[in-house]
Amino acid sequence: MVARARSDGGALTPADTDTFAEGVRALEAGNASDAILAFEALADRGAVDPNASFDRGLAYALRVRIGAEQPGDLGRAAHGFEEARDLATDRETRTASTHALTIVRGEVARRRARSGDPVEVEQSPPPHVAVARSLEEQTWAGIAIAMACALAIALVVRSGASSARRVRIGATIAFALATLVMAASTWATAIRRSERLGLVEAVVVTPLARPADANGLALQPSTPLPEGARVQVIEQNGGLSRIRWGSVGSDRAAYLPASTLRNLTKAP
Amino acid sequence: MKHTLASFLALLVLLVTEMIARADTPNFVVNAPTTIEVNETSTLKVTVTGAEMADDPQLAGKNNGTIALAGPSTFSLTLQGNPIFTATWTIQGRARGSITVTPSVSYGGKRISGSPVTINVVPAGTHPKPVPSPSSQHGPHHQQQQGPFGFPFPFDIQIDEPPRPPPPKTEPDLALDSAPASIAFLRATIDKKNAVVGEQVILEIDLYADAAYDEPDFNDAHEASTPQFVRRSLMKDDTKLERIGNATVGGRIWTVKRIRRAALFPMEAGDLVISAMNLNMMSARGSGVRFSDPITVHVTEPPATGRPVGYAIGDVGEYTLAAEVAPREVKRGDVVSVTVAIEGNGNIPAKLPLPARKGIEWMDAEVHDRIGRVDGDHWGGTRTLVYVVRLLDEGDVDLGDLALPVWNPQKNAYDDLRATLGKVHVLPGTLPTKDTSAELPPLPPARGSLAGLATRTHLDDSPFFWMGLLAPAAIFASAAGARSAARRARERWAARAASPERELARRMRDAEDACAANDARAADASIVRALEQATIVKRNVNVRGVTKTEATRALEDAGVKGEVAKEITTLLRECEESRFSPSDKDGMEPARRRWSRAREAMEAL
Repeated sequence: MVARARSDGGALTPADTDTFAEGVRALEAGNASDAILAFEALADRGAVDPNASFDRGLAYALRVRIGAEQPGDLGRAAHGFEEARDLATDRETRTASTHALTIVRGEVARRRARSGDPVEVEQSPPPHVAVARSLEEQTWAGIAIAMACALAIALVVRSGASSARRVRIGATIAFALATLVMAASTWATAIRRSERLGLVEAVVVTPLARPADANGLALQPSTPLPEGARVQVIEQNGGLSRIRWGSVGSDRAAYLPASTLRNLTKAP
Repeated sequence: MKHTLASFLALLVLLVTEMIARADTPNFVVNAPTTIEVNETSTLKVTVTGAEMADDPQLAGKNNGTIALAGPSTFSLTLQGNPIFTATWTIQGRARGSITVTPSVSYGGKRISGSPVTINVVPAGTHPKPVPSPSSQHGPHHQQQQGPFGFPFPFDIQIDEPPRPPPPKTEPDLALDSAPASIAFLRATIDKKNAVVGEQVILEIDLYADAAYDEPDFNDAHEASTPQFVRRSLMKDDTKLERIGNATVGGRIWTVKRIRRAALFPMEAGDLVISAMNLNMMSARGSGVRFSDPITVHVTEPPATGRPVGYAIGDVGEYTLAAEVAPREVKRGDVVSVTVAIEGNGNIPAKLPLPARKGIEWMDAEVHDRIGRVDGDHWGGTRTLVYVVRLLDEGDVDLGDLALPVWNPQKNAYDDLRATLGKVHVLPGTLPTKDTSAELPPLPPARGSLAGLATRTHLDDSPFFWMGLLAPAAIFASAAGARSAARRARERWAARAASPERELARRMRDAEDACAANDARAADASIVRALEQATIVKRNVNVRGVTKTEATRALEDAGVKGEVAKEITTLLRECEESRFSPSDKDGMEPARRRWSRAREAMEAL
């Protein structure tokens, strides 16, 4: 069932739909500022929609294209596309969001290369998380259930086939395989579930986001995080957010001012 | 004539008698206040005049901490042959209450006392000081004993004072019920306790000084801290105090001067605190630091309902917005000037959201301010922003509208200020070569409608998922375990059923049954089987299939008594003979007797 939603769980109102339409018109007319105002107003009211996020990202990117860029526009564009990719359920929107992200992050990398900073704009997650993210949570759960059933059947067959040696061997192999796959898929399900329920992620929306310690003093040595980077927010303490981005924040705590980050909205 | 003379003489005698009677009575004068304030200092003075010099002044009375006493300091003088003795105590009010003291001195070898004096101590600022009058210049407890002939003592000369001036005019707005401190104090007030982010709040700090005394000196002032506000002074000159009038505080007259008046603009929401201002006070009556009270302002954001798109939190005030564009016709690639003026009262916004449109490049603005104190109640003025705008497309280019939504606290509503920039006619022309590599590549097209969110369910949200993962294996394991347990139970049961003792008991029952029946051969067979099992169970000796001699020896070796072993082997032989005898003519009795002997032998094993 597809429903129009707000972050508080309520339904979108006609005013929200009108504001969205207003933003689309401004976008098509090339009026980046008006489009940004409309889509931001929609977000301020709590509307959660992949297309609204996508178009918001487009509005910021448009402002960059027409030469009226303000600091942080590329980061906010990346935020819109990331959010659209997370919220969308159709392949087309996801593909478009991924493509747009590639363009925006490419521009960020080009600028960092020009200024001599490292050009990495994305960090890979740990291997086990990468494996878990290769499939949807629902898929992993289905595999785990299927393997549990296969495990039970293998046990029954093995215990029942008292004389047929080949049957017993086959059942033993099936039992071992089913156990392994079930354990792996259950673990992957648990990882995806914990990410869904507990993981808070944000996007850096400023060109200069240098990681600092808990007192706000810049970590040494360190380079600013790239605009548009997707980071994990571990905790928020006053005006500082503790983050993790690849190895940054792994061996020692790294903080960024909360104003340099924009949290990614999850589906309610 | 005689009558007149007699009267005169009588009168004279009377007077002389009085003079003699009063000749040795000193004049005891006590001068003390009836009421003093807490921390106020005064004096209690005793003056004794007479024929002799007084000495050893004392004050009797129970001091319960209401006052603090110091002294006495004494002074002795002989004036025109008359001794005058003065003793002075310094008293200071410490706590609210009253105390009664009785002064006394030593005079002519005796102790004489004055009348008791009651002094009331009241809270500071609550005792209006009466204007001294000629009749009370010696204090309310002025006691004087009359001199000769009832006339006042020669030193009590009274001079009439001119009439008191009328009390000064006071401002009701400045009045207070009581003073937080004596001599002088600071009072901080704000015009509103609730405001929105960016709304002006006026802070006033006034200095109150007790009019009855000389104004103290002040120095080392520390300003009230307002880190969460933007602060702008509304006074003409911050270095000078503005006298604003008199005030009645606890029934007394105080002069009031304004130290600070400022417009505060809160920068964030919450309960924001304006800390105390303090300064150092010095006066003849004392010195100390005076603090104003801290004040909390409750700040919220303007309402979300009806909030215009693009409203920036903090843009609050009463403004007008005007814009001019010049020239109105340029060539492609040329620039026009857009002059924007924001005028009004409040913390004028520093920048405007610009209508970014394709083909229009806005450069950074040049800002000119005429902002300051508008009057004693307002901060504001005019901020002018001059933009240079380059036009890249030909034709009639619409520059769009400038929008500045603000919250107007006077109207308690939003003002959506707009200035239409209008169109500029752009003539054909050439543009300088642009580095297109700096442009973003084309992006996917916009999404034309809201997509909605699919209701997502997850298998692992259900507790049955986790139960389902483990259930098949758990069920199988339970079944296997149960089967194994049942098999083990059966085996134990079977093993228990086959135990030697049980077998012996069964065989003995069989022998009993056989002996109760009519088959002697069967009875003998069962007796034999019972005896064989008994030797196995009790002595671990198997007598089956061995000779009588071997059986006897084996039983004896196992600890069985010789006669018992012989009895058992004899019984075995008899039973075998009876079983295999060709006829059964003896009947059951012999068998039964043999069974009885067998039981005894088994008992003896």
